[in-house]
Amino acid sequence: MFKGLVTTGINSLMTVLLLGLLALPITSLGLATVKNNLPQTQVLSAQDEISQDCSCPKIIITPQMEREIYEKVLKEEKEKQEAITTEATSKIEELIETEKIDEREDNLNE
Amino acid sequence: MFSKILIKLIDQAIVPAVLLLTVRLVSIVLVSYQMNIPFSISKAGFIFGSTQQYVIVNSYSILAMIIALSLGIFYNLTKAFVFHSSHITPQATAKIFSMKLSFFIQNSYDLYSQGIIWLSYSFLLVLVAGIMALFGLSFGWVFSLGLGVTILATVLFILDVEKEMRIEKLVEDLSYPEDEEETFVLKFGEDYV
Repeated sequence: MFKGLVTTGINSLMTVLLLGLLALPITSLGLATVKNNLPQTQVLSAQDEISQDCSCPKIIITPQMEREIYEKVLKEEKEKQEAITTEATSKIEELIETEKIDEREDNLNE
Repeated sequence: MFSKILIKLIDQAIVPAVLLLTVRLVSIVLVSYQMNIPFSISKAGFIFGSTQQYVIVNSYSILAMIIALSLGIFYNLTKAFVFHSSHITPQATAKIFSMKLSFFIQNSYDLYSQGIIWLSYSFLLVLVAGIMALFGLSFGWVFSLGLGVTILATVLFILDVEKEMRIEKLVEDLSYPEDEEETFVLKFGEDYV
């Protein structure tokens, strides 16, 4: 009985060895992989977590600050409009000059 | 004590296992260099920058493995069909012996154990290639090619086994029936002269 048990054990070991040999080249298919980059969502969530944990005091907007912001915005808009008008006037002047040159050339030709 | 067939199968499985492993490693490096695909080597193995690059290298590497496997299988099938000891022609035997290539002539036990091992590798590779193709990790046509080669090799192998069985049956039919032996005594006497 003991002899039979030993034979069965050795044969089962050899079967495992055979199966391992069969699986060995197939496992080599897992040798290549792709670089694992962190998805963007994780980065965003990390940022959210930082802002939540921030111990900075909350910004309270006072009427004075509101006024300053409003004035700043007004000033920027004014500057923009001025820039647009100066650009437009310079273009108009250029056009007038070119028209004058054309007229002179016509007169000379006549 | 030891199972002879298991020892034989383990013995026959070593060469294709080493061959396939080598082909896999060499093909990954060669395909990457040929297609200018950068890779790095770490504990996890070969690491590629993007999935697209991985799919290209993986597919061509599996293709190289299928080619190596099919070469081995068809070498065995050639031996089984042409140089099988049970049905090799006397002329071919004489030629092979004169060329000192007698190791080509093998019996059914050797040929079929080799055939089973090579076909097992082929089926396993096709199975894994199919799973990879299903998940978009390799090209579908690589799996189709592997499946075609495996089916063809299996059919040819079965045909050879059938041929062998027919020969075995023929040999049994032609054998002298010892049990039905009868003795005939011819009497020569004066009456017959």
